[in-house]
Amino acid sequence: PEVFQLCIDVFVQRYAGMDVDAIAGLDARGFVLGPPIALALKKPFIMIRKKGKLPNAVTGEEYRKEYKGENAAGGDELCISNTAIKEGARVLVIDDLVATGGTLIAAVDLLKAVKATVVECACIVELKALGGYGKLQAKHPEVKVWGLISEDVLTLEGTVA
Amino acid sequence: GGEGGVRREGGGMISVPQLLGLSVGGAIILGVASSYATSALYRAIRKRVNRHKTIAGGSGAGHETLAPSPAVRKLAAQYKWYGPKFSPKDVPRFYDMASLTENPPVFKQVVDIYVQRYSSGRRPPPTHIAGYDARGFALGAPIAVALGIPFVLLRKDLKSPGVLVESSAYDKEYHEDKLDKMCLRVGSIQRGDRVVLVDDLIATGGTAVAGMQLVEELGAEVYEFTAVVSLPSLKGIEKIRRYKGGVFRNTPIFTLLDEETIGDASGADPSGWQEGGRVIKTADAVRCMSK
Repeated sequence: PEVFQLCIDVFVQRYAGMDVDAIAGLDARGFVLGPPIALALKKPFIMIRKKGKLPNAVTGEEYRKEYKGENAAGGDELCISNTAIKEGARVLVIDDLVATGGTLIAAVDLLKAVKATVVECACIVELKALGGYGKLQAKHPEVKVWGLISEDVLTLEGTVA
Repeated sequence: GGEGGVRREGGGMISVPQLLGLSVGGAIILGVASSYATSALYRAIRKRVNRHKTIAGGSGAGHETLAPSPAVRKLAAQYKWYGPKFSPKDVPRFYDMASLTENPPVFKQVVDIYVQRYSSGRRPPPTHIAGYDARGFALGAPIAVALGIPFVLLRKDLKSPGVLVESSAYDKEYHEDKLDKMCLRVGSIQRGDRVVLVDDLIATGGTAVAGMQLVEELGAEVYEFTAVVSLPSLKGIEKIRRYKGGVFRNTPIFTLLDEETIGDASGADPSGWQEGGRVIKTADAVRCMSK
């Protein structure tokens, strides 16, 4: 709980001053991280889910993830509620981890297609070696990823303060 | 002789300025004290008025639900549902948990109900919140954070890393061919833990029971099962009570709203829907939303 609260506090502190209108979390680990941040900022939390899970939904294009699930082709589609986002809304995207960036880019694609402005993509862990940030920047140069931990930090010797 | 003069009554006489000073001082002290008392009283009353009352729910032993009140009716009115044409599942009403997550004051209200409930002091507090994948994650995590206790993921599949313990297969309302298993990472729940299981909704109770069984078998206490919405017609709570010869017959169950308290007015199916189906492409969505 203390570490969880600390992560939330760090994100809340960063995004409180960035004029965020809504927080969009990626199914399902983004559902754990996003709502406490959204509640603290008093903003709506919006679920971005795999196709077929949301009522009244808009679907995006097919994309590929880092690991294949049951779907042998590795393709998937993300959905968002039809009514959740107003045009021009400033949205923070949140997930626990960014790897190849496939899911993240699909989420940003979807949000931009429904005319939201993506403020930033926040995550706990960024696997820099998998180049997700670069791929995102190539397609959406104005969108940054802000992660708490990467391999740079993970490979350092830790000290207890 | 010396018997003249006026005898003064009652000891020393107080002068007018002294009397004034004492009155003003007294009034200030009394004023401050009474306004403090009034505001404390006001806060206590407001807290009581805002606190939702719980009453015995329909399923018998240990089932509590929210007492009907204007505040509860208002909460229920904001919980949207969709009909089969606009739902992922073929059920008469698909209750949409986004009604909470996309509505910050209502979301906070619901989280506060749980925080009050689990810090009431009437029982030792829970030690863990376990949320059912995935809507239970969104509801359970803020409650755990507010209470300062761990939040544990009850997942439907093998997505968690580490060594997992799984429940037996269960049957759901939705008649899917494949039966899901409920998994926990070994060590996340242990003997002696007091665990609240959280989901957005209870229907047939298959999911509910699978999670409760898993926690039970790990030697922890099922402190409570809770869902925001209950569908009594599907007898999920009865299923919990009957399970395995009644192992959960007295387990506390707390539900907030049900099929009756959430009325027809909460139906959110779009009227006059022109598109082919309910899942549309983004280009069409922008056009629809601006209409």
